[in-house]
Amino acid sequence: MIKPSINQFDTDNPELLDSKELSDSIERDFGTAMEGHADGFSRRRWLQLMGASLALGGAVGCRYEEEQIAPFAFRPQTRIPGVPQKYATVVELGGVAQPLLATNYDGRPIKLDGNPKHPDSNGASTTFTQALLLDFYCPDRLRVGMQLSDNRELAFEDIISQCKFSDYSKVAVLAQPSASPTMLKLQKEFQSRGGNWFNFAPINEDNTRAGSKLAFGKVLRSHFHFDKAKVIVTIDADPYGSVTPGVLRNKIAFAKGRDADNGKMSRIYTIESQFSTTGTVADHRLSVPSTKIEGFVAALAKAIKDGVSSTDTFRDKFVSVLAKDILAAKDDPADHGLSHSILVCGERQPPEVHAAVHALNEFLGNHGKTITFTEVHDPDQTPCLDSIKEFAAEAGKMSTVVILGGNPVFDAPRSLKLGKVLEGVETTLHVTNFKNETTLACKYASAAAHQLESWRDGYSYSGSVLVGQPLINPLFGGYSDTETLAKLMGIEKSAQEMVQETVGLAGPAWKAAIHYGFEYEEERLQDESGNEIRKVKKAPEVVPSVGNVADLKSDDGWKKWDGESLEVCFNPSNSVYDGRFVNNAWLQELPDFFTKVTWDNVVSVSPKTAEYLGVMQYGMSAKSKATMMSVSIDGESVAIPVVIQPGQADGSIGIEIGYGRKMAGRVGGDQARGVDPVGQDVGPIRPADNWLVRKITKADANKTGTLYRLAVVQEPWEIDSTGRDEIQGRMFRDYGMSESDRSPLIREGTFKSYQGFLERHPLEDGQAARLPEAKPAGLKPGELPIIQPVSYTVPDDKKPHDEKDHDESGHDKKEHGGDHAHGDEHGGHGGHEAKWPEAFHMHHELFDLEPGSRLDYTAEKANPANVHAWGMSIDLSKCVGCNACVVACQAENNIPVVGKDDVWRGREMHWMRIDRYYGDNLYAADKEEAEEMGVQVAFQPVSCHHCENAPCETVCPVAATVHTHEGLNSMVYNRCIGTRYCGNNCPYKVRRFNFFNYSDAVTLLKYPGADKLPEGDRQLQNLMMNPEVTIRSRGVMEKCTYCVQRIQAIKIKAKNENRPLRPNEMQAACQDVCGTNAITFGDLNNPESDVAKAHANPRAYGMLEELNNRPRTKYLARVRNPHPDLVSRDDTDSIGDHGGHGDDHHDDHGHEEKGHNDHSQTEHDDARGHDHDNHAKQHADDKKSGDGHGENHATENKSKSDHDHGHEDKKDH
Amino acid sequence: MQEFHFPTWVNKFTLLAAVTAVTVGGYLATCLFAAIHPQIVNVGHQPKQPVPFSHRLHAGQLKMDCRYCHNTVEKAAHAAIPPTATCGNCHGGNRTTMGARDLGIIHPESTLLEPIRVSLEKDDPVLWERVHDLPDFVYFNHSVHVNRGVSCVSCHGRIDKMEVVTQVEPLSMKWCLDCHRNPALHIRDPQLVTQLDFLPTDKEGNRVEVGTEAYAEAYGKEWAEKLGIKPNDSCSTCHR
Repeated sequence: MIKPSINQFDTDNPELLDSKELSDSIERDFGTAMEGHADGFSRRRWLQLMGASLALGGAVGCRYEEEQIAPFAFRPQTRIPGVPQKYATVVELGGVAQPLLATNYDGRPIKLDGNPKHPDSNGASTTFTQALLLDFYCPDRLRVGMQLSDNRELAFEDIISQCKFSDYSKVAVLAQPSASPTMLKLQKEFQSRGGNWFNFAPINEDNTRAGSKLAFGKVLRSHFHFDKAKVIVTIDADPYGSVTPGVLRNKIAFAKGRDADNGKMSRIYTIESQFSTTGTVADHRLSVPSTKIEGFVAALAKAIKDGVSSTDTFRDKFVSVLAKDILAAKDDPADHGLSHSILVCGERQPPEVHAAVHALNEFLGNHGKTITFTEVHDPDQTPCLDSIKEFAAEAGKMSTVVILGGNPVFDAPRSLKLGKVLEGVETTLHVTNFKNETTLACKYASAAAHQLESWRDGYSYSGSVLVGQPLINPLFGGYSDTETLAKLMGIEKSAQEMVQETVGLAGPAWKAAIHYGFEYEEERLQDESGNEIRKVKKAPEVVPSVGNVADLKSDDGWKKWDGESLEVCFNPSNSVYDGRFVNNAWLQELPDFFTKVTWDNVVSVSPKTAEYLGVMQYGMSAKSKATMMSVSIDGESVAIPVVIQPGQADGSIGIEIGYGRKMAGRVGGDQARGVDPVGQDVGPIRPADNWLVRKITKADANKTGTLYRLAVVQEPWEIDSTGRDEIQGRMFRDYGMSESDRSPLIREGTFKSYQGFLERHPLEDGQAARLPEAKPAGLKPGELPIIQPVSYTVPDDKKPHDEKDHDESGHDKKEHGGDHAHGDEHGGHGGHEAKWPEAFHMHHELFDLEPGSRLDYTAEKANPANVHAWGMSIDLSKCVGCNACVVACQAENNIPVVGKDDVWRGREMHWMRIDRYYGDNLYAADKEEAEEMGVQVAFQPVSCHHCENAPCETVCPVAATVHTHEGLNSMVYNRCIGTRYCGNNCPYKVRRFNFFNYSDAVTLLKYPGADKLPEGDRQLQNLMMNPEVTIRSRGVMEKCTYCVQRIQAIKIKAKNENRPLRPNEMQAACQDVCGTNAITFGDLNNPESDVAKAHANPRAYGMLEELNNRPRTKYLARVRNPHPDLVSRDDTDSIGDHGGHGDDHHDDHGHEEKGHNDHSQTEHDDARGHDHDNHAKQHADDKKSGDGHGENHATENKSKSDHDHGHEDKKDH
Repeated sequence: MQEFHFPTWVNKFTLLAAVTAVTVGGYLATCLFAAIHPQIVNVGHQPKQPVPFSHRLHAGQLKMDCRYCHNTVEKAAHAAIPPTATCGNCHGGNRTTMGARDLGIIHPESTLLEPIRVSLEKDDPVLWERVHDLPDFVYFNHSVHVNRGVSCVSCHGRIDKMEVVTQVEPLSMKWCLDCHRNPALHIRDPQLVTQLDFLPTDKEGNRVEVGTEAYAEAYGKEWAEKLGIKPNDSCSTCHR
């Protein structure tokens, strides 16, 4: 029997019974009566305050407080108070400009999303883009010009005049690599006047660029068309990870290439040392230390060019199969538009490996087919690491140094001692949004206008030019970086003038460019609904050829860990990037996509490495405490808490950078104010050479003996091994729990099995899940009718089929509780009767405790007011677990931040969470092979499922959570008295309770003396709140509302325009932001809507559907596409029938098929009005005989033909 | 020492005390309930405005359409208080000009209109007192009501007869639901929503009051049908 391996490393340990550990975890799990909040707000004090306010309330009288209305004296044209307006704009991150669409409410930005008209975004965005809003309204922003020596405020003009450039040979500018053409122009001008320009960013593309130069002789940007390639090989690369530039393009293409419903499926192989986003969605993953990957690439190149000899070990076989697959993709004709391969090399690898991979790609004919190239906008840029070293050497000779943004003192290798270097310069100026470590080292600081406050331009990842307008006047004044530089150079132009000059447009063309947010082609086009659209002006492609590339050294180190060699990889943080977002509480509290750790950085090691180093994670509950591990490099050492991570390469130690900032702000750490840094600063141990990966020895990695408390959002509630096993048993597949008909939380199967299934049960029209095309367009011009009678009912011919049958049969709904009325199991309309993966699909008897008590929301009779039935679907094949939806939800719904202590107590407020599950490889024959293959990972976003039989509703004593006619499980805050019964009774654990007044800025900031914060600063964050959503107070339950404010808004819009809703008009915030379109939302009653189609898809299943909750959110089972030669166990019909494992675990195939047949037959009977009881009885019998039956079946059906026979049986039925 | 015992005739006072307590308690509770009832608290609210703007004059006598000033009512949740510039169109004096011509020539020197002229001059808002104030957890949308045939008069009363605007309806949740559950009492031709004195006739030719069953029979039901009015009474319609 295969037992999943997760977390076994931290149990059965005698140390766990150590009373301190136990009592800590008990306190954490069950809580103790708390007298006050951790940050000092005692219950007594609260009662005092309450008493006082009651007395005051009495004195004021009973009339509502009087309010004043302050209308504009002159209202701007087109401005309608209270109606949000959208503007295209641009922000830059990591040297790439991102096309945005910002929502402005009464003149202030309240939400940032991707620009749906630009193919680099399609309306999607990343976690960082979403959270930028919080940065923008941060009260810690630098507001003035300052002279740091005596902390004196200076006017901007004074600073400019103090620092104005004169002798350019003695002036240096240190900037981050910029994507702005205007900035590049200024840089050229500055350099032509003799100035010294340096550039540095800690997360850069140095190796990638050097590799390109090595291969092609010049720096080119590769564009990977993942939607066209049959085989994708990522080599220590993470094209789908949030930190990667161009991630959205990659994700969109990824989803298009993984369209299993239409028979299109690429295969992803990942070879990497650290678990990346890409690694989690890969079909095959090999963990190899970064320093050994060179050997792997050499072996792969040899296998591709010379053919393969050895297939002795699993890894040898892996390479040979991979080579075969790549070659087959090259030679075979395109299959559903997929052909050829893509090999991607990651930034951690040295330039030589990049060059070798480029050469391989060329050899395989991928260039021009699946990989295209464009020129980069700054080919002459010195590599960042070289440039910063030059800067450290040269700066002493300068009289003036200007640092544009960034935080080089913290980010650059510490051995360069930039702080010291800057102190020696006569005039130093830092142009920045936040006061940081670099600012402290400078003589002057100037508050820069935020990206959302200034005119900008920039090259997007695909090379098109974006134009961005400011969304608001600078909140605190200040000039943008380009403006400041221009002024210092004596160029008196505003940012707007400079941008317009660079773009070179005027009049209506300029206005249109601002409107669209990008430079566009001349050609005028129309979209489906007749709106005029313009195509983005693309950068021209170049077709390079690879020159002479040296062969890589072959080295067999990648095949097996020698048991002692160690390396350290310094990884960008998926939460705080390079450290710039340390003061952003949304991102701090965002669980890491993989470790699920909040408010900390960790060092991750594999279980084997942990054993070797003697480090552990402690706690009855997994991961609540970790040992600290000290890592030493070049004489410096840093202690960091350990997270043990299955799937990490043995011998590879991963460290997140960016944390431990001492001058970040009130959230991320501010020593001057007494706010401790968040996380550990790993800067001191980063070497100046090989600073991404570094080999170390065992002597450099030591257990320190101290324990550290980590706030982890997953797995903290497994009180004992029973709880853990329960969850374990529900992952992927139910190996251990044969007697039950419980369904696994995650369902998955292979593409091959799915194809076989589709041959037997072809998809009907529109049952395929949606691909990431551009989001639905707006209103068709001329579609606005004048008032005319429209009834909001579904025409008869568009009604759900089974509903119609139902009515005709005169079927008594009361008796059957509307069981089949709208296809609880079949999706909204005429769904698939068969389900995939078949082995996972159980028939669950659905019933109503009180017949007729549950409203049938789709039947018009019971639901006269509305015909909408809102629902959601989440495609697990497409979800990469990137967390963008979590932050988007936070921004949309005013979700507060609770801080590390409260996350540790399990009080986080995110309405959406992404569960991450590890498990042994499903397709391995035995435990050993599973270990070779490495763990499998699946993500599952979970928010309120809006159950039709909602368990939370029945237990609320005050009816604060009730159902609407449209099937929303609505939460009425003003009724809630905070009993928390609903949260207890929710099987999905998606309800969140406001233990404190988290939305209050004082609590949010959590720093000593926060209550002395000026009123204006506290109100600053109120500007950011979405006015359409109630801000919840202490003592109130909350949870996902399915974005009810958006539902109401579009319904009102449609009613005002006197038309029915369009099928996909409603977009939830989490859906908006999703790059892969894993999430669809809409009206289940409209067969045209994406969500109705998704629910009708045979892969659709409800989580814990055996509980009879009838969730409105359904998941689409994950499809993996492993290579047949690399799997030992085939799930073509049912996992477990083959390879002699039939008796190791329960085989429910027979039971399932039978149960299924019964089901369809009973439905048939139902339609004729037969007695329903028969069905139940038959089903119960079936269950009883389940075990024995399964075994028989396993022995009978050893071969595949038998199975086919089984299916024929079904047809006969 | 002999113990003290209450004489038996005291017993009847025990009952009396209990009855008194219940009566007084009930009385106080009723008073409190009545005192905070929206009908008592809200109806009749009549704050003093910075400028004594007369709706009776403008909307009643001059027959200006409501939407001349409250021009966002069909497009937005708020029926926005007009910008001062709207007032200035008639009263701005030499602060509202077209070319060399002063437009705001009506009472250009009136002292009562001084705040308007100051606002126009300084580009500062006039601070009007809010009359109809809903709790913050209620999301009411004007546009969807006005566009679907609910007249201003149904909620705001005969504004065109008010010298000073007064709240005439309680704006309580019950009051909202009454209409949401029986909309025909208030629905009319959406073209006529700003016609505050509109009274349809029934079969006998009698005028029928808005909000009565007779209105629904004679006129409201027909239009509710025509417009497909099926109001929602779920919590999340107004509370999000």
